[in-house]
Amino acid sequence: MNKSLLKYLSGSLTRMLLLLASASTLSFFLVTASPMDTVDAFLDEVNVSDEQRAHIEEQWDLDKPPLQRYLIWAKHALHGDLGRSVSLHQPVASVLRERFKASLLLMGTAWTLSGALGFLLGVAAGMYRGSWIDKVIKTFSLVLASTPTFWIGLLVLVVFAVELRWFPLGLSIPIGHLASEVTWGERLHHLVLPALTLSITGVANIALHTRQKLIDVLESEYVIFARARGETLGQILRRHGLRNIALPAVTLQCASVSELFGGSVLAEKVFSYPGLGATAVEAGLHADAPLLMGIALFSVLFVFAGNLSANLIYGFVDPQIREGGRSNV
Amino acid sequence: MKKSFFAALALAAVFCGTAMAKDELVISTGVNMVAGKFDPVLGLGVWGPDILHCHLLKPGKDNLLEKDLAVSEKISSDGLRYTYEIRRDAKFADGTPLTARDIVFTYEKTKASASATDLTVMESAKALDDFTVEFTLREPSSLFPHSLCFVGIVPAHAYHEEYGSRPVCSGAWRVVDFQKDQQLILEPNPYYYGKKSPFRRITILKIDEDAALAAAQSGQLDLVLINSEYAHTAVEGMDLLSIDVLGTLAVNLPVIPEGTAPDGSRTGNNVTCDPAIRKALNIGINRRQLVERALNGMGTPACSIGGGTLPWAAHIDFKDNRVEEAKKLLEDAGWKDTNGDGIREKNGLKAEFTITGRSNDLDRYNTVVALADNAKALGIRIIAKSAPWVECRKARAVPTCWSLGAPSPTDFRLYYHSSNINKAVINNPASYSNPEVDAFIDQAMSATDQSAANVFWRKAEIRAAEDVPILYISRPQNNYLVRKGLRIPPLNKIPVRNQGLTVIENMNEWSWDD
Amino acid sequence: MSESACVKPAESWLNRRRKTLLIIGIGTLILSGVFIWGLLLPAESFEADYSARRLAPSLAHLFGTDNLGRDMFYRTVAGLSLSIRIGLLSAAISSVIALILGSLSAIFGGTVDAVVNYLVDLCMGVPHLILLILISIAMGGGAAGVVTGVAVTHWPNLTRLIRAEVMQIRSAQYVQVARRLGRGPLHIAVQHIIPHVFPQYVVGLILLFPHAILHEAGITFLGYGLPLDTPAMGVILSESMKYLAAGMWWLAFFPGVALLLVTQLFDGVGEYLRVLIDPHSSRE
Repeated sequence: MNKSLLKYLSGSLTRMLLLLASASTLSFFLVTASPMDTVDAFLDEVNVSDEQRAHIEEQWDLDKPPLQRYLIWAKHALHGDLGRSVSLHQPVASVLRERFKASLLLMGTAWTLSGALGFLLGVAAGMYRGSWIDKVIKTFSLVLASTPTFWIGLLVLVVFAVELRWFPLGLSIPIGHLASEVTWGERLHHLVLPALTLSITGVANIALHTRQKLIDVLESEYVIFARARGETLGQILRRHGLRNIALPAVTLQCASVSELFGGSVLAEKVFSYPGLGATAVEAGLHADAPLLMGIALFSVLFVFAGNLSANLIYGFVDPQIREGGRSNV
Repeated sequence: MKKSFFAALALAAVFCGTAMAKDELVISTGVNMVAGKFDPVLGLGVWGPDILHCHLLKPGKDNLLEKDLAVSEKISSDGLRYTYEIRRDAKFADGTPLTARDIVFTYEKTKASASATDLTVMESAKALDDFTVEFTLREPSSLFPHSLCFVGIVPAHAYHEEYGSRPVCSGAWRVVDFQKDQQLILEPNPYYYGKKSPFRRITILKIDEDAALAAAQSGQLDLVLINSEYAHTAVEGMDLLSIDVLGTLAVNLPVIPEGTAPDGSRTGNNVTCDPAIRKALNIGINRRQLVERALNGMGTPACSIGGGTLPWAAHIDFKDNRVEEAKKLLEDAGWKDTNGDGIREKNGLKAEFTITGRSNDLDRYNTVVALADNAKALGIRIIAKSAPWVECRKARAVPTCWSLGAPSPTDFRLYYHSSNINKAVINNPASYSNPEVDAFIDQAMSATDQSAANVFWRKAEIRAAEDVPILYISRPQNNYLVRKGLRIPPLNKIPVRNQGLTVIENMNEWSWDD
Repeated sequence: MSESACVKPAESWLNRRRKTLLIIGIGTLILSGVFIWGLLLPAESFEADYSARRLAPSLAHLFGTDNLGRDMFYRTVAGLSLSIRIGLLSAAISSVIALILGSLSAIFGGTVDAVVNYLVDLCMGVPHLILLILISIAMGGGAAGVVTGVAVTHWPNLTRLIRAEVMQIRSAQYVQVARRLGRGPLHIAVQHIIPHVFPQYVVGLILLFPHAILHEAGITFLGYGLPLDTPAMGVILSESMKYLAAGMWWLAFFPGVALLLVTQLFDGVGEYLRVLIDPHSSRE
């Protein structure tokens, strides 16, 4: 097993590097092809002379051809220097580091929440199939799965922050407090609404998926046999059901990282939460190539990690695969 | 039952309990102050009022240049050398004295960097001694002293690559804590030579204009910048403060027919190149109504770039809403509605053109929509389009709505002098060329005395206004909701719009009414 | 099985198959109706009307009016129609790409397959919204950017589906037999492969719409995509954010509900179609 695992991992590493290289090339050329002028975005309607404009372009290497610029960037990137953000006047790496912490908190919370809640609801719906619980969960999930995240965010904002005033309007820390003074409680307080919004779509998908898997299990032969043996529903669930449905649920969750990232971009805008998503939106509006490339790379890495974990869990835990069936690469 | 009641009460208390002590303020002025671009070398002073650093000169009462850091000014007779003596008690927030060396460092660094501050006219900066600095220019330019207002002085000993996030301040305020894109906490700079604020701490939050009203209603802020659209919404405990600002909304009307510029881009507009159309719009629209509709009444009609509030700008005023006169002007010029569709034609060309309004500034788009509505009465069809800056900057062919006006005449020259046609991206968007106006501007530039220069600037503007290359419409106000009792002294000048940052320019002079 | 358990044909005309057809029919009718109505709406019906600003929903203005006095109902209808149009266009482009690449990949295998797989990996490796932002920037925003972006982010899934289906068919017995019998590849493609793949393809296509529509709304909401004066759903919802605190809740609520209904209808039609065409793969 170790050999095949190693082979799989090294294959994955190669794929990841190829993916990163391609993603960086793609994002670079997409941003370069943009009719948006980075210098204009930087100046923001401040009028400068032609000479100054040329000077700025020279400072940013914009007078060099695109391919050369990319190669310069790539060379620096290999040494860990992702360049300087032109819209935030900071090294890209430090921007990513700052924002990632906040994003991780948000996405992590939403991910756990949607996984746990979705699983519970799915099991409930599957166990009591046909009953009103099932109908309610099914209908809600179907509807929520295709509702735009940002609209849910808006509704949540109106109800909980504007009308009821239970939660703050946005940001991630309370007003007027030094960063060093902020408690975890306060951080969580600011996290609730965005995390709630972000997790809703995930909950719906997991619930539906888990429900289906549970129904499949309950209709399988060995469960019929177990029932014939006199096992109760609860016992069946514990002995046969959970293991078989937990696995698909977890892998689905791991593979949904891409959706999560996308959703976080929208949720962060609605709640003014300062994470990577909000940064990406602003970077795009300012045609900030280095920052966009940094974020693109980072998100690719993130999604890849999620998919890899999903594959590993499946390949690792599923005995059929572990014992020597063909690997799922 | 009782449990949930107390829980609700506790929650409410937590919320109210965040009320600030009286010597602290929480304010929000849009999104700009909290972006963390506090580096004057890169252009901080150009984008907004720089209250973190001090400057050699500053635009004071009535926007006349006043000495700030400088105590004396000497200009050589050929206009190429400017010498300034500075005060000796200026210190940075870390206690080190501010000397001429810091000034030279700042100016040289700014010129060398990719900065929004344009110092191309400056040849060199030299420290004659610890407290005297001399600038040498490439050519005489009366605009140079104006640039001195934009360059905040940074310490030579403490400047580094990420200065923008961790500035060592030389102005009235210093940064205590900064959470990028969330909040900025300031306290008065103990070493500042000017007026010290009575407040111990001021927190500036980033609040999107969308959320501003809700933020105000939550009672947690002492001052909030709000959009003109909700300026009339009553908020408990707060009053409305409207500040007239420079930032005249105007539309450039290309004066040349359609063609191609040397760089290949489209330029000119076949409809607006007819002076009759431009003049008719100028006298025929109802600016008061436009202010009412587009700005919710929060603004003043404007017929010129400075409206008599700037020392170098002319005071141009005339009665508008002369619809019948405008119609006659058009008829006489050959624009007649021959097919009864409400739009005039001349030689087969319809009096119809598009005006873009920048999509991230609602005021501009709303103004263009309202303008289109007005123009209908004159028989001119204007198609209002909201577009991102990428598209709006093609203004040489498709007119767009600008926000014009600055304390310095630099922009005026860039918009009206014929040498600026097809230069840079947005210079002289109307492609206006008039030798008389050019002559006045040239004379203004080479004057060595500000008041002499101002006479020529005014002459240039009055002459140019006759041709209406730019249609001035209104001057929006910056609106703030201010907590009752907080006194904000007037600035005694018309400040620049600065996307809402205007009000903090004299923040060190705020106080509570007792 | 007793007699009473049997369905008496005379009583129940509406059997399951008919019910499915009915739902599909009604759904398609509503969607086409919205689409055409929005297309035909004259621009004046949602133009700025300074005399009717900020009105709550009433009989005269079903969804109320906004700050410029524009009727929200007509604006929503126009917006939904626009969304459907964009969804249609991007789904069409996406599906054509998927059809070509998926089939080529399955038929030729080897390098072609590897290249297609690599492209699929690349497009799926970058989160949709990031890719949408990048493509939108590259094309300078606007409808073209949105359509291209949505098309590029959605072809991978369909490609995988088609590839799997074609590969499965190729190794099916009756195709092997046809080949042994000397039938040319074109004949096999037309007679066997296409009829088998087509149903899945159509269903996949229809189920693409809701995603496309939601992505378009999302990207416009963020400020990329369609310009602010078009009555696009993303624009409507993004503007409504400004007025939430001023109490104009109807600006966000009704358009959102309408968008939700349209996506649900598409989902419904797609799912029921799948039940009809391929009962084996559908559930319940």
